[in-house]
Amino acid sequence: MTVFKCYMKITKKNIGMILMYFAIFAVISTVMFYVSSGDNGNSQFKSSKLAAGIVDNDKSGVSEKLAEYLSKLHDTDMLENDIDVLQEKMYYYKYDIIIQIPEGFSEKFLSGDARVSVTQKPGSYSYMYVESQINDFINRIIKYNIAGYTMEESFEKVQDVKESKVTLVDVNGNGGEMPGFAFLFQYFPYTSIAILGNVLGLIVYSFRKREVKNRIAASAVSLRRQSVEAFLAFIVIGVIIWAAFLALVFIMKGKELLNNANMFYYILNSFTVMALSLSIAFFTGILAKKPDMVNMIITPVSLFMSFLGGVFVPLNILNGTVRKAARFIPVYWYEDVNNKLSEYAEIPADVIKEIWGGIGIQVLYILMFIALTLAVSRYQVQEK
Amino acid sequence: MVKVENLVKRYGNFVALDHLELKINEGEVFGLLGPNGSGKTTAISCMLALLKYDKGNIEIFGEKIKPGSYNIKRQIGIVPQNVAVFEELSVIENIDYFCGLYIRSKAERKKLVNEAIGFTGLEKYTKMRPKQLSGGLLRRLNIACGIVHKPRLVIMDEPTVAVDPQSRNKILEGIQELNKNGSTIIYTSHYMEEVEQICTRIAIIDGGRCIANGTKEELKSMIKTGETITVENVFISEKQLSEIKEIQNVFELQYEDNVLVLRCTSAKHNLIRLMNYLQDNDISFGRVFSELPTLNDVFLEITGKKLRD
Repeated sequence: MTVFKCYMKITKKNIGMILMYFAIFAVISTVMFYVSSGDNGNSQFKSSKLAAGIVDNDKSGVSEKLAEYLSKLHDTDMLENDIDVLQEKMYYYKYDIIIQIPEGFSEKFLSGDARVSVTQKPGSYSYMYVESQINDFINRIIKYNIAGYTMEESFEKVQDVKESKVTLVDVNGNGGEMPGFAFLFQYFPYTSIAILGNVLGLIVYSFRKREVKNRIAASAVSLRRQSVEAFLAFIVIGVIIWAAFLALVFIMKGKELLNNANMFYYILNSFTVMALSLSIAFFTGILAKKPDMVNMIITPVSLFMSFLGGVFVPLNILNGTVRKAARFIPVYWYEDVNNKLSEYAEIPADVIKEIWGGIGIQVLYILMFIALTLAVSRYQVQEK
Repeated sequence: MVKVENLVKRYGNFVALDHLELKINEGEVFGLLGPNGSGKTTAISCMLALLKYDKGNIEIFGEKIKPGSYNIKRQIGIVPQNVAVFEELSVIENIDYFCGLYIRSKAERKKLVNEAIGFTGLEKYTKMRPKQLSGGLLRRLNIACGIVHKPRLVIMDEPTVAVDPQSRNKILEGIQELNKNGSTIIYTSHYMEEVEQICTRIAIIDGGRCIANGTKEELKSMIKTGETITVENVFISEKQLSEIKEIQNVFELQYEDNVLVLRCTSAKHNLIRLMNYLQDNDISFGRVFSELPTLNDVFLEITGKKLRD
């Protein structure tokens, strides 16, 4: 296993570079995860509750019923009317909104003149939503009251209606949330192509140097054995990098991934992109005429594929033409599969077909890179 | 041990090897001497089955060599013209890797690697990478990688190219020691001094053909030149030149930039006869020296061109 061990030794020598790329990967994916999980308008629609503080200055039965009603719609806390405390809570974003029920609220209630004061954090429009809920509450009580219901009965009726609130139609089964680990999978192609391309491309180049190649060819190790050992080393190094990536995913979001019904497809898709990276590394090693050329090829290729393929920029924000062009990039199909997996908690049959199609296209790209490598290699031999 | 018969190798219309014939016996340091492009490296590549040839036959250890002749290849070590090592591995890792292509046992390999390091004097540099080594040390590493498995036959293709004189001497001494330890060596070079110094038998090749073959004494006896006399700072007229040419045993004369070069056949008193003529004709002169024929003279006389042309 001399050739195999040589691959391993050279890879080990590049451990610094591998760790550097993994660190970049971990930082980028973590940062992007937190940025994307914020309310940036790109997330899918989902039902939401506000953190609301309620100050009851009226302390009446009506104001208590209103507070009770609001507690069913939002996460509420009853607060004292201390302006300093309230300002501090708002300043530190403890609450999205503070609702103050004024003194005399119950007296003005039935006449329809009762108003509450709503304070919210800057840049938020949630108060409109809450105000509308409070107005709805007041109007309904008044209507029931006019119809002859007692105050107590009117409250019960309103509570009943509100409890059967509208629920979100969860088409994809994921509650509108993208799984956190999806971001880690999203950035894997860049790491995989950069690491495997640089390390293995360099090794392929080293073994291809004419004198080294001749020296090995003149040795007692058969060409077939050399090829088998080199292939095995390629696979093992690829799998190690892939396994290290999966380990990182499990460390960061392991529970979530294990509970995800699409785990198998995520893992399979990432394995395919790892194999794609190996084929690119092989091709680069054959093309390079100097050791520095490996990095000169891999860096722009990995960045180009990542930007256009949807690694750094989500596919859904690429414009139509760019997206059409991106379909010629293998990483696009990886990201397309990845997006489908994160959109659905349980994948419908027709989407499963599309997922297999995406993985199949990546496999075709792998075969294309291998065929190109063999063709270039043959041409180089003939040229010599 | 090695028999090359009627070997022909063509690259399109260019004939790299033209019916080359060689026979190398066990225990020899066999020199393959020829100018650049004469076919030395091509001949070696054919011997190692790295190149297909158009015609002829090559036998090593009594068997025809083919790309799959691993039992033969196991007993051959190769030191290529350019340094063939991995830049990413250290000195010791490189030697161990190339040893591993022949020897599977880790313990045996360790012993052989240490011996090769000692033999090439690389003890202080084992942890260094090739980039950190000087040209001479790199050449020694190249040799260590080729001989580490103690092959019966070592093929060295111009191992001293671009090496300083000190390292060159060290390498040449090492080759002689290797031969004493039982290895047969094929040594290609275009440096005739090296070949003369270490080779027991020499084949001179030019244009892909073996033009002369034998010990250095045999080769030198093949040519007319027995002595070359050079006289510096001498002023001679045309008439005197004609007279010098008539001196006994002189068969060729050159006079350029006040330097007179005479080629004489092998005989006694050639120098004395010339000195007498110069004295009798009251001709003043500077340094005078006489040289026995070199392999360069052999090459020059056979091919009509200098070895390094």
